[in-house]
Amino acid sequence: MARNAVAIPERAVPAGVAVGQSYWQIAWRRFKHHRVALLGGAVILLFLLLAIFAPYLTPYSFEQIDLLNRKAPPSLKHLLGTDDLGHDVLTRLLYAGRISLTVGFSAALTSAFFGTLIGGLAGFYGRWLDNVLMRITDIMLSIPDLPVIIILARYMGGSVVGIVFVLTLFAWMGTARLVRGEILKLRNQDFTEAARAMGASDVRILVRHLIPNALAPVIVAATLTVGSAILLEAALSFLGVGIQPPTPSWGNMLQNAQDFIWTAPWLAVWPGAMIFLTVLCFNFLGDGLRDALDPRLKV
Amino acid sequence: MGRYLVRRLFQMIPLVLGLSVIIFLLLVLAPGDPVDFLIFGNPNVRPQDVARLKHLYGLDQPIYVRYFKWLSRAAVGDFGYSMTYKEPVLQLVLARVSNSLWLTVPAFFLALIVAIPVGVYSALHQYSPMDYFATFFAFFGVSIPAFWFGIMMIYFFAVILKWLPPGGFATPGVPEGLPFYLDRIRYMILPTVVLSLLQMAALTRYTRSSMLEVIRQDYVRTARSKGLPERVVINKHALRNALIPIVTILALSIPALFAGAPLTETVFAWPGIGRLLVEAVLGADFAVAQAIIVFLALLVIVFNLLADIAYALLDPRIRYD
Amino acid sequence: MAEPLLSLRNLKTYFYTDEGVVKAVDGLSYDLYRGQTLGIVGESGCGKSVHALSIMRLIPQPPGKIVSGEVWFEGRDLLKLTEEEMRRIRGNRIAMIFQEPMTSLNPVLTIGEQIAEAVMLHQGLGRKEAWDRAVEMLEKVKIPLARERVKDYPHQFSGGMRQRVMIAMALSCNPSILIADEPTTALDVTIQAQILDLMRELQQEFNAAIILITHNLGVIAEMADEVVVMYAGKPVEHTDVRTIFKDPKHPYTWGLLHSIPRLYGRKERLVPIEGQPPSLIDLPPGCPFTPRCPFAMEICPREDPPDVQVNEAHMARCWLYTDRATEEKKREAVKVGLAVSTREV
Repeated sequence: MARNAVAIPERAVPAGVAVGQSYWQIAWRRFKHHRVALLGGAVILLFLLLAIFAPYLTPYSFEQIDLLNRKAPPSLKHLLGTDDLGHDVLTRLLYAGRISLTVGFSAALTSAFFGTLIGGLAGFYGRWLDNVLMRITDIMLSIPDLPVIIILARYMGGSVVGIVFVLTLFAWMGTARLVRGEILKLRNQDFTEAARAMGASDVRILVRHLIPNALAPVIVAATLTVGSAILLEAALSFLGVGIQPPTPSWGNMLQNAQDFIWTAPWLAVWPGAMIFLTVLCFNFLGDGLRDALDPRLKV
Repeated sequence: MGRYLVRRLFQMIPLVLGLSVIIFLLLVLAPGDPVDFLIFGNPNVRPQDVARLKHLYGLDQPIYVRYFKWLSRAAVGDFGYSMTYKEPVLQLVLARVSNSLWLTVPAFFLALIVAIPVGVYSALHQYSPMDYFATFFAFFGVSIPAFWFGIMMIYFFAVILKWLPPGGFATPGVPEGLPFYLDRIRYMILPTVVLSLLQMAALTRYTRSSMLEVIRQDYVRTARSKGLPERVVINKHALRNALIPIVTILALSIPALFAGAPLTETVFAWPGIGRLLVEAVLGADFAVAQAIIVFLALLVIVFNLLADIAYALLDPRIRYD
Repeated sequence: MAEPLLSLRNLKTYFYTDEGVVKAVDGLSYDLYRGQTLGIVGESGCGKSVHALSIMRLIPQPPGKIVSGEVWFEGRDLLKLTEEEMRRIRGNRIAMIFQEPMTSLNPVLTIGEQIAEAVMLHQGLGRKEAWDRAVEMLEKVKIPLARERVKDYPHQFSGGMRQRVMIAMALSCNPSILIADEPTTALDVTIQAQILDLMRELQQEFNAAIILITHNLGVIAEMADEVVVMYAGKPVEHTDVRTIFKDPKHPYTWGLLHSIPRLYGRKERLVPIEGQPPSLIDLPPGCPFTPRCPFAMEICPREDPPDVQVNEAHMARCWLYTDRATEEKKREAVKVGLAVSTREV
């Protein structure tokens, strides 16, 4: 039979991409075309700056109470009004952003770390270890997470570290699965064999050769995890088992707001809008990163 | 198919064991057991009292003994007695489960009847305005905090428009029968929509991608090459295949709806299992909280099994295995 | 000769992608006669499958579009029919079978259902009659225990059996044209021969014309009456099957013939054509085969060659057979042509 059927005339490299560009350069070019993701990234950057420079942006402290101006509607003095205790809402919103973003990024980083570790071990060593770790991953994925997190968060007593710990407990599985899949693909490729032939140790192969190549899905998963962690933290704080007042978080600012929905509805609008926007932006950003870094991952 | 189901049943064993072990470890052994919680900050408790209490609750026994005791009691529905509600935990939880069903069942069907047509349409008209709208809706649904969405709904429909009640379960004094149900429906609308949103968004996404996958398949081209009308190609050839993975997702969305209930039920003051969980946790009534988690775990197991059965019924490749 | 059954005139099908316009089929013409088998041969991506889907009007649109041309069939230009009129032709007057028997049948419907639905639709038969017809067709394609197996699902059949089912389905409405797109490529060699035999046998019985698309010259030799060789969306040589093997004129055809491994007899080393087919996006002017052509002349990359009638029944699209060819290249070409025509097939 004629086996001259050479390549399908499909270009190995997308048009407009010069040969010799690195993977990251190509990814960046693709990412630049993802307008929604760029927008998401820009908004996140803005929120980060607002959180970092909060003390310079507002004349009030987050604990400062204006007893004469409780539940005051938005005014020049209090741009977004005050809450039931007389806190300036805008000030608390800015400081709450610090907490929410800290929790989001910390939970994403720790779960990326543990996910990579567990996925890496499972993919690299295979056999029974893989079996056990992946079974555990599946079971953790099947647990209805919010109710368990609510209980555990209560045990943690509302500390930031405790919340991050609980969120991490239920956020590493996606990363672990992705990393395992990548490692399985890479494990038997030439460069792994070459490194092994040159006497590299398991740890060295894993850390120097395999994990860097599995980085793209980890970055995507971590970005999406920031969003879901912020969402969960807000839910916990709203229910009263998360960050405890007087420390402000977007979630606990909503806790009382519902009671004042008849008299001071603006109290309910802003914190929720901040959560929504932030999470939406992380999801946009994650989607754009996925398209740019690894289009195969597209769901 | 019989063999397939038996195999799946056996494969459930690790899930059941794993779930029970993990839940046991997380909840029963978590830092600060119930006794620690009871005595926390109480300066009058002497160390020997702690030891006595721990012995009383069996907390001084080896872990595996405690696990099997816990499991065997859970198996017969013995979850103890609620300290706050003054009734057996099982009875309390079951009553609240039935209240929750008023929300989860309609929320399930709402998600289903919106998500599947929208997802299918989106896939068939990829990159159309409607597809972009559906995509944005999906992002919206997974990004919006359910409790805030609930509060905003209350503000709009109860505070401003005054069309619907802001929360609760029933208007006092409404007579039995039809008026009762009509009244109940008014209370159900907002929480059902809020509870449904996340599943609706996720399901729209799944349906779209499943359908996109299927309409690329060779057999869809074959169906067209036979001259079948597009309607038949889509409904008979494409949709039937696209629905197979979706039915699995659907089955698993029931436990997910229950898992989302704590937020919706708290916002709308709905006396269901989710709100019970939050109340129990805030009131340190951990026996109740544990029982709810076990109930949710059971749901996960049952609906996993149902998903397998549905899969087998829909896919002849498994049915005639 | 009689009226052609199907006439393609200057068919052009383009795909509009982000990277540019892919001219998948760029000016294809031929006539197909009743009972004839026309082979379309070329490398992957030369446009042979796209041309088939264009006749059936099954080009996914967007990104694809039939930009120009005519497809005359039974006195009508298929490209001008409404979708509804075209539907009545698909599967009824013109049927198609595909390369991948493993994926071309719907996994959740029974074989009988998949055959019967077309019969009910086009022949207006009732359910019962349509299923009887399905059984009859399965018997014709030699599926044992057809009456039982008609209730089976595709996964219960092997690849070869599924291709038989596809043939049964395609012929169930007694079409006058069967388009077979690489019908044996995915099958084992022994099964390939059986399927080809079956197709020939049924062609006799149904008196259908076949458009046989393949990259396999062995299949062409066995089945085709006439052959169109395609390259980069264009026909480069068109003649009868004997001539294509005995006296081919186009350098690309020579290359193709060089690369047939012998099934029987002396093993000859496989000599593939150097280089790759060009990307069909932004094709430069001139003959697209130039970069791979050992006979390329100064004119070749500059101007598109004309369709040269070497003789009445033999077209070669090559500058070698025009007065623009250099004497030296002409001599070389005659030598190679002679070598090809005297080798044993």
